[in-house]
Amino acid sequence: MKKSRAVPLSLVSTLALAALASGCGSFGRREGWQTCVDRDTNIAVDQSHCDQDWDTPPSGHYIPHYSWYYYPRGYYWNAPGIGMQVPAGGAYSRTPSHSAPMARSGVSAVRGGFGSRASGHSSGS
Amino acid sequence: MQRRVIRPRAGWEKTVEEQGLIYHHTNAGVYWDESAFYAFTRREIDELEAATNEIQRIALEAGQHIIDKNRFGEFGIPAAAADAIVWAWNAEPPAIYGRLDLAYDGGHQPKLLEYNADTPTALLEASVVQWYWLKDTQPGADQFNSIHERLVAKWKELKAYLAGRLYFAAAEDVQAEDLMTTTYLRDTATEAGLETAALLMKDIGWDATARQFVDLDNLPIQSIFKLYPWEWLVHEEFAPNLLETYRNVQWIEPIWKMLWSNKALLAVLWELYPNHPNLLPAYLDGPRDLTRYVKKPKLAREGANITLVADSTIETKGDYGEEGFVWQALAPIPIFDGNYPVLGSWLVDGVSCGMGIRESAGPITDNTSRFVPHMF
Repeated sequence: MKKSRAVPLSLVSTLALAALASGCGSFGRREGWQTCVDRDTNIAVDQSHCDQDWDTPPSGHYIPHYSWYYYPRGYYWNAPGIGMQVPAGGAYSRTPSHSAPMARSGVSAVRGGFGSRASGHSSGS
Repeated sequence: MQRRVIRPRAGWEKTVEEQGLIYHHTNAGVYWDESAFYAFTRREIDELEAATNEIQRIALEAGQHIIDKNRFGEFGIPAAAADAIVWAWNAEPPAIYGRLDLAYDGGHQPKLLEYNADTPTALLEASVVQWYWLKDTQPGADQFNSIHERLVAKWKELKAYLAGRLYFAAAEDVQAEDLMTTTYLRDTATEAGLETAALLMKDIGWDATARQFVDLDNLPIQSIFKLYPWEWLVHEEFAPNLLETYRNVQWIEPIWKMLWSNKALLAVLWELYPNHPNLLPAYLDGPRDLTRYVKKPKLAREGANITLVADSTIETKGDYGEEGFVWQALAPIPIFDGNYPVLGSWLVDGVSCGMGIRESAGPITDNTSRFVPHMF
């Protein structure tokens, strides 16, 4: 088939508006996140602390020092990095949630490892 | 094949901007040029379509040959990337699109100039903008263009295959061409029902604890389209992480496209299919018996570092050529009113589905070339 079709006008209009408003800006809906926290301070820590606490056999009065801390969808923008205090309103859990898509956040991601060669020029061909 | 002059539509700049083509001018002048168009016959379109599918067929054979004979070194591909390329070639992860650049005059067989298999652009103008131009100016005519439907259909097919949200990543470019191309592709995926998100290449994060790439919310990236060439990715800071986790992430286009987006492919094709009607003689070790030829870097963009040897010699500047060069016979590019058109023949899912034309004032297509619509 050679002949093409009508591209939905809403599609291209939205595209143009988005582009003129600076291109990449829409990141869609927010997802919930979870991070390992120090329960005394509510500071995000490396998830290995929660994993170690999970390995500790619970006693009758055992309250883990570290817990997973879950935020629901749409409540908060980014999961805090290690060393940052988590905002109030989330829920503690001894085990991480397995409901997808969930970030096992609390670790600090390194950024900037891609994109250095573009230097403002087109990457296209 | 004819070039016909036509009066541009009144207010065309606003019209094409509304269709997403905000880069209708470059520093060199007009980019979207609707003061002329190319008219083809149905026979010529059929010939172009058949040639495109034929080149795709032999490119697949060449890809298998490169892998079987372990010729990665001739492509300047780092040894560390070879395993991922072989794995991807055999596993066949999603590959969406590509664009063959062809020399064609309507009287002879189309000849392959290069295969933009990894990061082809000029997509929005070929798929959407020239289609609306046709409806406005030549409503009774047809166009070689089912690119949009083919993209949507391919994303629908991949819906069950792709894990999680599909990210669309590009680097920030001054003209916003890459951002717009990526945004257009994202729209086709959204139209197909996929959950998508936009991301800049520099914002891709590496979570060293989970050993996975993450987005700005630290959510894991499992599927990603990137308009960013593999030859850059495999040399950047995250390259070791990328190769370590390659099998866990759906990278589109896949890494094996390094075999096709490299002009060394032209020499391998000629070696495997000498005198093929859609190929030009091409060599990796020099011009051999060619007297009129083009010396091209294996990896280059926007017509940089080209040496054209014919009655006189033309050289373009640039920073490419580190990986070596390919010598290809000079293509018989026709000249229409002093303009040199190169046909960009699009493939989606490996099938020919449309065309866009870049026109230049000289024999080398570069970042000042204009996009001119077509009809048949």
